[in-house]
Amino acid sequence: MIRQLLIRLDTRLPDPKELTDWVALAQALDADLLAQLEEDEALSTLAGLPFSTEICRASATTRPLNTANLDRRTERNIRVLNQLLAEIARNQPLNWQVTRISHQSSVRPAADTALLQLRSGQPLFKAGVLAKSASQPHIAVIHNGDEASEHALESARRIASQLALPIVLLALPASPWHQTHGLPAGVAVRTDLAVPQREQLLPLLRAWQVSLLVLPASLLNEDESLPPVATLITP
Amino acid sequence: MAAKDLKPLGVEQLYHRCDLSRFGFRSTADLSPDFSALGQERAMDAINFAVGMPHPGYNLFVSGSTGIGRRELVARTINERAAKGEAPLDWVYVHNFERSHEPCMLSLPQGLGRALSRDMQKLVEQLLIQIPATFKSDDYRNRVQELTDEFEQREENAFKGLGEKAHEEQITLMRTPSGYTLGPLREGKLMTPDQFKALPNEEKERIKAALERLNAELTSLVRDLPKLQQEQREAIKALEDEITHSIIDPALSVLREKYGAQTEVLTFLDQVHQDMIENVDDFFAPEKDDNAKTPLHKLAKSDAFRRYHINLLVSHDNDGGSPVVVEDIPSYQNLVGRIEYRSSFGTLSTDFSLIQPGALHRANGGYLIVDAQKLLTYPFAWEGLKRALRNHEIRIDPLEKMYGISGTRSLEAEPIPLKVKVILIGERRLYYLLKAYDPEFSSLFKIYADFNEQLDRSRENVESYLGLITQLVQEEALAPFTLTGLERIVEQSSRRVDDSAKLSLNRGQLVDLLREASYCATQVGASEVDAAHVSRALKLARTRSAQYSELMQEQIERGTVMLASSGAAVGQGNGLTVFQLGDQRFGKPARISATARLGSGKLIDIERETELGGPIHTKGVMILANCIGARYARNAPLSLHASLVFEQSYGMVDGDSASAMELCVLLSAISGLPIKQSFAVTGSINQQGEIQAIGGVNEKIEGFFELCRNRGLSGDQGVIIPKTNVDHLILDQEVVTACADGQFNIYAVSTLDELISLLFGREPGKADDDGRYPPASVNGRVQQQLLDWTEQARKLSGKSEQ
Repeated sequence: MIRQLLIRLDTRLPDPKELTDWVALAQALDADLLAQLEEDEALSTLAGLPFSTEICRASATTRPLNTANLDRRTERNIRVLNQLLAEIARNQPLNWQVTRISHQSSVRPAADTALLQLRSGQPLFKAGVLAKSASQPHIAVIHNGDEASEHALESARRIASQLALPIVLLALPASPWHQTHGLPAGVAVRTDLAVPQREQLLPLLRAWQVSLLVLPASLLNEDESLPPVATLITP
Repeated sequence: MAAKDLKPLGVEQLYHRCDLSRFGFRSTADLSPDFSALGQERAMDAINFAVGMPHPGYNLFVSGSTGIGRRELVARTINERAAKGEAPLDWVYVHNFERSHEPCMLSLPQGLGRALSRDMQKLVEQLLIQIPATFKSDDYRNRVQELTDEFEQREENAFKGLGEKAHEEQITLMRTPSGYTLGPLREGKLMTPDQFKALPNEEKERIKAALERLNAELTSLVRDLPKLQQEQREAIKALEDEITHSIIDPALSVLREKYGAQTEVLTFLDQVHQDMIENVDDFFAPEKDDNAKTPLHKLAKSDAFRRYHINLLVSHDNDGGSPVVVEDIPSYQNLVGRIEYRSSFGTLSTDFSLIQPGALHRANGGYLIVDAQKLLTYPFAWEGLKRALRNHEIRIDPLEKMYGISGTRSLEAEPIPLKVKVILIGERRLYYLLKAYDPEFSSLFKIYADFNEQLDRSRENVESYLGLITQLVQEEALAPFTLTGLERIVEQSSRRVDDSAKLSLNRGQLVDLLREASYCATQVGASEVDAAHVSRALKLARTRSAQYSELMQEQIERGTVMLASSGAAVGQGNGLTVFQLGDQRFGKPARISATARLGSGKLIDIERETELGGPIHTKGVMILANCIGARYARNAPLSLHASLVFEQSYGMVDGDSASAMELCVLLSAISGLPIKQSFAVTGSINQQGEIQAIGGVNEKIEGFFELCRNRGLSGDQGVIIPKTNVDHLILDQEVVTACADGQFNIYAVSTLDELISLLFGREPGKADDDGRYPPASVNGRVQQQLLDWTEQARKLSGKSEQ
């Protein structure tokens, strides 16, 4: 059972729309929202050097980079994030917490925690860069036939039901839905997947306008980079 | 002529019977219907002339009495002509993409207007499916993704290139929350501050210089990012334009090919093409539609796509020939069209789709038939019609603009060229008023079609009239009319126009009589309609309207209204009046009385003095006054003070049909000789003493007959009429029978002396060369009395001078 939705963020301030999506996801899973702002150790080290400067992406201006202002910026972002979440929590029930961590923990979430890996700057529930076509995004679920896959599918159902999004099931060979005609409950489309690798996944994710991939942790390969969509790793 | 020499009119003169026995038929079942415009050759020639004239200004004004059948004949003629006419154009209004408040007009061959409207609707529906579908296609998504990947890759490569370059100098490139930074490496790992402090100065300077150099490059790279992003956006936009063109161009090419011969339509399609390209986002409406179940055709008709619609103003896709429009409510807006408005949150807005056509639009290329009286009743309708005819175009101006109270900005729709023939139907009076007072009327309505109310009762015309009756009997599905029934109908037709030598052309009255007579026949189980049924129908019609007449008769019979029908009296006589109530006419006798005494030559018309006498009545009295002077006082002043009045008359009196009797009553008052009360007289008199024709002679005779019959016919009662009215006699059978039996008499006179001889029962007297009448004669007695008064007056005036 998922009790927490863990979102690992860098120290940038997220867009309020993104926050709304995360809250919606947490509510769909009936879980508490835990936002972890991960500090970059290397950046902190660099900020300690006397001549470090930072070039802003938005304005191409240069400013000094030191631990003090880096720290201040991080604290400010945490405060703003807390304020934004408090504002959201006024109108809908939400248990949330914002923490600051200094190192990246294991990719694998705890047994009661689902981990949301975001692709920076991309909205959670909107189709990618295809601005002209406002077609409905899908939630994709990779199913391998094990219990973790069933939990992932159940989580996907809850999210899909809450947000009125269709589910596309990517059935691996071990899945009982591989190469069958039937569909599990709550699934709109089923397609077969040979291996859960980036090269195989990407075309399918694009074809179905997938904006959220639900992946059971049992299928996570730490050496493999995740596909470029928001990925919910379920325990 | 002496009274004894004047004979009553013969029975054959009292009722000009119609004899159809020589026509050789038994009933209308044996006759053929006649659809020609009987007796209306002049009018029909005028109509055909106007319709045939191709030049402007030859519009038509049709006049004639109500019931003549003007509308039916005009409509029939016009429809026959129109059926062979040119097919009219379709007219549409479309959105003006450059100036939206000036909708453009397009003309298309017959039927193409509706086709264009459907095609544009289908085009929008087609694009509503195709455009979103194409932008959802794998091809488009893949291409966009490729572009995105390409630009992302370029960005990544740029940073990667810089990162590799930095790495060569033991520098690493890193991301920060807001951007990028560079930091020194030591043995592949980021150098700590302590490690840096421990470096020799030379190395520190080298690192700083390298960082400075690479920061400059990094800054330049970051500055180029917006350009890259712009380039990406432009590339995606170009792709979208390409996709858009690939969908819209072929769709519009199909329409261009179909309407290739219509230059205006092609211009419109070009504008539509351009607008669709610029506003392709509108076609994603189904995606944005919250209620995704909205049918496609409703979406296509929504406000977002209104500018692509066609306002089909006039379409003639199923009609053959030229249009014929009869406008029953010829208001300004119904004629020239109107611009409607829609209300939204308290404001009014409009566009080309809310332009509504008027009768002129629908009749363009054909004919428009309008009632003239109604046209003049509606404000600005006449002006609007004239303006359209004068300028040969239909310009839709809002009514408030005509009133001069333009408030909100309205549309200025492109005017539509007008080619129409207008037929106004109205009364003669209206035609002549317009002719006299509207300077434009004559130039716009050059042809006048004047319908006859009657035609000669010749054999040929009677034959045609029978054909008309047959046509009406068949159209109304009535029982067939026998020979006698038809004879009675023809006689009644002459009675309608008060002339036995004429037939009435009032179809309305004819149809009513046919229907009612047929009904009377079927009520008694007859299969054919004969004279008795016709007479009964006439009697019933008269009875229905006879309440007032009966009330008046009752007042006479009860003596409330004093009228004598026997004996003789001085200064009093029976005149005859006719009353018109609705479509019924009846006559009643009226007592005329006169007084006379010595005076200064004044004749008082009491009706005139009390403003109850109309101008024609006044004229009649003046004429008889001058007649007296001319006959009896040529060489001496008229020392007379007299007064004339219609006794117990409390309403308006007009007409001069009683002037002959008024003169006789006055002569009686002057001379002191009594007038027979058994006679009633009708006829007007001129200054020469001639008796002139009057109207309503049949009703007047029947009115006095009714009084005498109710009191008991004595055999010496009768009516004296002008000789020139004899041909107008078609009396009720009861009167004819009484005359035949010698119980009642009708006399016809042409001079005052003849009238005097009948009324006074004495010789009127003939003047000698000196103008002196025999003393014992009526004229002589009058003359003598007048001379006596003149002498008295002279004596009195002499005494007063003394």
